[in-house]
Formats: sequence, structure tokens, C-alpha cells
Amino acid sequence: MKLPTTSVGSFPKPDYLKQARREYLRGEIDVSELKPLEEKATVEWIKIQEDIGIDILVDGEMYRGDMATYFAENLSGFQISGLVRSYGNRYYRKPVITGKILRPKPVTLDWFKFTQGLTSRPVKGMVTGPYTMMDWSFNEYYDSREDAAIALAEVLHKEVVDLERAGAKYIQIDEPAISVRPCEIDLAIKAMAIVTDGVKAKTITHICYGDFAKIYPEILEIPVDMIDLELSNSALDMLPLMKKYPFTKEIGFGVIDVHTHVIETKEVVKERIRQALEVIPREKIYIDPDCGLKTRTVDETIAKLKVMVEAVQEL
Amino acid sequence: MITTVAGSYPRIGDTEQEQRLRRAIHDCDNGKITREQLAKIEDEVTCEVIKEQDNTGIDIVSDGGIRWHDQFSYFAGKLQGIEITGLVRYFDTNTLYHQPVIRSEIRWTKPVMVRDFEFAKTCTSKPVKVILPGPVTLAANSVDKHYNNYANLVGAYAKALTQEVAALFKAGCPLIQIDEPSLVYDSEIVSLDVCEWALKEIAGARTSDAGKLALYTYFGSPARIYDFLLDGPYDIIGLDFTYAPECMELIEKKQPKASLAAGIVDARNTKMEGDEVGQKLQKIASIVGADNLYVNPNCGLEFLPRSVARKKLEKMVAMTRSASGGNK
Repeated sequence: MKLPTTSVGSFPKPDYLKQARREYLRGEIDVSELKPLEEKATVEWIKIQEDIGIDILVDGEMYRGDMATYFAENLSGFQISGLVRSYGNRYYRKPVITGKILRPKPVTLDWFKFTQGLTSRPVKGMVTGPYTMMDWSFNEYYDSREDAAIALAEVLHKEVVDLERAGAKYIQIDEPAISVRPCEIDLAIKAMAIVTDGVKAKTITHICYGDFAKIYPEILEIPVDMIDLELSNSALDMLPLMKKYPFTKEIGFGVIDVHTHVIETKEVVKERIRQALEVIPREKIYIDPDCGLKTRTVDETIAKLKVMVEAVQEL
Repeated sequence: MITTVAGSYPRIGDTEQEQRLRRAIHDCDNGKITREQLAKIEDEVTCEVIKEQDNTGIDIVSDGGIRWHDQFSYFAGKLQGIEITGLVRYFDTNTLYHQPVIRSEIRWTKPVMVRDFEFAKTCTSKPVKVILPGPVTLAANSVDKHYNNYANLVGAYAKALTQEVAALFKAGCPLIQIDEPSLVYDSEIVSLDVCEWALKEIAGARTSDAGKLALYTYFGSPARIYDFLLDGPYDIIGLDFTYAPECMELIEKKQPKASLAAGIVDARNTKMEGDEVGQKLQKIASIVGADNLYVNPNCGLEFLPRSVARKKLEKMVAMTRSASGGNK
């Protein structure tokens, strides 16, 4: 049987949507003009994923700017800061926790329902994890990083329960920040336990930017069914470690480097998958790109996804 | 007590005018303006942020690192033998830096910061300090494709920094700050023998009539290397009281002979410092003596929106004045 394929979350926004978002931010159009374009782009990405032959789909996050800021804008207790530097000449607005974090209404539920309504294939519910939301925000309200992460976990648990009730079979709780402070892995695990408590849907966490060696095998304690890892960007140097400490969960195995314009050849992707099969049981492997593809062009993204699916089919 | 900054100042703010450097860099990258036109705007913005620091009331300013894309690539990129490459996470922050890769022997061929220092002086009547990344931190955050030996790599960076420090002192720089966050962030892995040798080498560039030399640590606890820091030949030792509250116990147990630079303002969170920070400052002053104390944020202010950075410096100056009895 062929290995299942999926994506990590984001896809690039088509030019008409980028343009509309700029106009929206400048106040030139309102949300009633922006939203139909976000929906149009979502419809297009669902069709593209179906045509390529991907098994578990994502909505592509056409309605999100930044993954943390999007949730901050839709929860209460947050404000958005002035511009801060990400690197070089890149700046962004960072969430600021200024009050008790609450969820006045579901954040992603309507988008999940809309997207799942477009296809008979499963669409993943996508939530930004509590540890990452905490780590990527300024905190002016809670006494400690732990208090903030736990408060977020309680709120995000409700979101996950809502997604499950709406029919989500797969729910991904992204925690890219986990790899940055190995000393806080216990906090990340504690927060995730709150988020996934009692959830029957298959839960996934995505981790990237990583020096995984520092948090492996501890990450296997994260209470989710599947861990999705950025592996190809780091020349698969995690595999020897996984030989030493078996990977006990299901794995989302990244086989496409999202940081390069170069389209991998099928042979390169097949070789990466073969290496995965050497250390991880076949039934535990899902194949996907390393990370969200939003920084690639639409054409690069489609080409990369096609190579990935064809490589899986030919193996 | 002397108030100062510990590094960068936010390059852009929330107004159109405060964002012109961002636009200019973008335009330069796209070939719409020349490198010279960009340099002119960098100078203007440098003066702007120096005046802004000046207006908060701090005693010693920096050029804000307005020309710096990150903490390492500006200095390292101007040394021979080093190539600046892809993005890597900067410690446990949410920011990235371009990683230096050592391709061949590291050579310092001409001053990196002297012109920037001389320009900064023209923008203010206050003393201007220069901040440089230290040899241990540079080595820990570079990829070594040449020396294949940690001690030799640290030594090569130390040699380049020694030449830079000598050139800056010769140009009349009153205070040079060497940043060594890796000493406390990676304190289990650094080899103190190598550090000691490298840091002494740099201190050797200071002649009797030269300015002061400071060694700053931040992003971690200095507990393990506290004695090492105290024994070093630096005039000022910088400790991060926000990320390592245990600094208070350390200075209570053993006072530094050198002056202390207390990082008491959190430059990584927008939460404004309250009265408890003023009390902490009074306690520090009572331990080391107000005459021996520099007061600054724990690290560069680049992590904050500019308006918050400004308010935090104003608050720091107010707290310092109040801690010294309001007669400063």
C-alpha cells in the first residue's frame, strides 16, 4: 500500500489575494470584499491538492497572515505590537498578552467547515499550539511563561474539541517553537496534554527550526498521535538518532525542503523515503513537505507537491 | 550611577518617517537607489536614534546598530576569510542572524567600526560607546570550515577583535563593550581556559590612557562562570538581572572589583518595569556602590517596538534618578 501524503499547513497566496490583502490593510476594501477572494483561493488549493493526489488536505491558510498573529487577533486578551525585527530587513507585528486569554468564539471552525465541505477527502484542522503562542508573544499579563502557556492551552483545547465535533479526523497543533528552548520541553508537553485531553481525532504536532538532537527522544512524550518533523532541510541527520531511540509515534516525514526554489527530483525524494523506511515502520509514516510552503511561489509549490506524490506512487 | 544602552536600538518605528530605512534597504536591494544613497539614510537614521536615546536622558549612547542586520554579520562580514551565509536562530529569541562561515584564515585588514564611531560622535555631545560581539560568542555561532579547532577559531576572532579594539581606542572611543552571551547561554560547553586567554588578549589592546573596556553577558545565568568574570581584566562586567535573578545573590556573596553594569530592564518583553525594579536597583546600588554602577537594559533593544524601547529607557532613567536620591 502506498504511503499516505499530506501537507504541513500553509500554501502561497495567489497574486490577486496578496493584492486584496494589501488593499484591506490600507483600508481600501472591507472584509466583505476580501473574504470571497480568500474562499476562491481556498477552493483552488483544494482542487490542486485533489488533482495532484494528496490524501489528507489542508486549507492552505489563505485567511491567515502569520500563524501566531492570526490566533492572537481572534482571541481576547491579546493586542498586536508595533513592528519588531524578525531578521535583516524583515519586520512583523508581534502578539502582546495584555489580559486574561479567552476565546469569545471559535477561531478556525468556520474555515474548517467551509473547506471540508469542498472535498470528500479529510481536511486537517489547524491550530497554533499553546507553547508557540506563548513563546512568540510578549507577555504583559501572566506572571510566568508557564501560566501563559497553560491559559492558552485551556482555550485552544476548546478549539480542538469544536473541530473534532465538526468532523475533523486529523487535528494538527503546531509547535514550531518547541525546539528552541530544550529546557522547557516539559512545559510544552504539559500544555499539549491539556489541548489534546480526551480528543479522539488523530492529533499531530508539527515541529521545525530544530536542533532536534537536543529534544529527542523527549519529544516522543508529547501527548499527540503523530509528530511532523522538518527533516530534509537538515539532510536527514535525525535518522541515526531514531535508530538508537526508536520513533514510537506516527511520523509526518518531511521530504521536501521548503526553503529552496530548487524542485527536488523524484529520485531524491524516493531516496529520502527509503531512508525513512529503514528506521521507521511503514505503517507509521506519512509523507509531507518539511514545513508550510507559503514562502515558495504557487508554481514551485505545485511542482514540489507533484514530485512528492509521484515519488510515493512509484515506490 | 551611569545610565546607558546595552546594544541595538530599534531601526524602525511606527511612523512613515521612522520606516524610511526599511524602504531604503528594500529599494537598494532592488537597485532603485545606490549603496551611497542608502548609506546617507543610514547616517540620518543613526543620528535620529542617537538623539532619541539622548532625549531619554541616558548618559552614554550607542549608534544603535542601525547599519547592522544582526549581531554578528556586520563585524564578521568585514573580516577576511569569512563568508556570511544562511539564516540561523539567534539564541532562544524569535529572531534570526546570517551565519558566518570560516573559509580561510581570519584576517582583520582595516577598522570596521571607527568610521561609524566617528560619525556617531557628531550626532551628540554625550559619550558614544561601541559594542562588538566577543570571540567566544562569534566562534559559538559560526561554522568553522577552516581551523577545525575550537581554540584556534576563538583565538583567530580574538586577534581580529584586539586589532579592532586598539583602532577604536586610538580613535578616542571612551567605552568599548564586548558582548559574550555565549559565556552564560552555553556555559556548560565553553572552555574557560580558551575564553580566559582570548578575553585577556583583547584587554591587552588597552593602553593606560585608553577608554574603558566592558564585558557583557546576557540571556543566561552567570553563576557557573561568576568567579571567572570577576577575575578578568575588564573595567566593567555586565550581568543580566532580568533573565538571571540570581545575579543579586552572586553580587551579595562576592562584589566585583570591576564596575557592575546591571541589566535591569527587560529588552525582550514589552511589559513596563514597575516599582519592584526600582527597588532592585537600590539594592544593587547598596551592594556595589552607586559610583561603581552602570544601569542598562539586559541586551539590545531591537526586540522591542521603538516606542516601547524609548519608554523603557525613560523609565530606567527615572528609576535611576529616584534610586540615587533624585539629586542626579
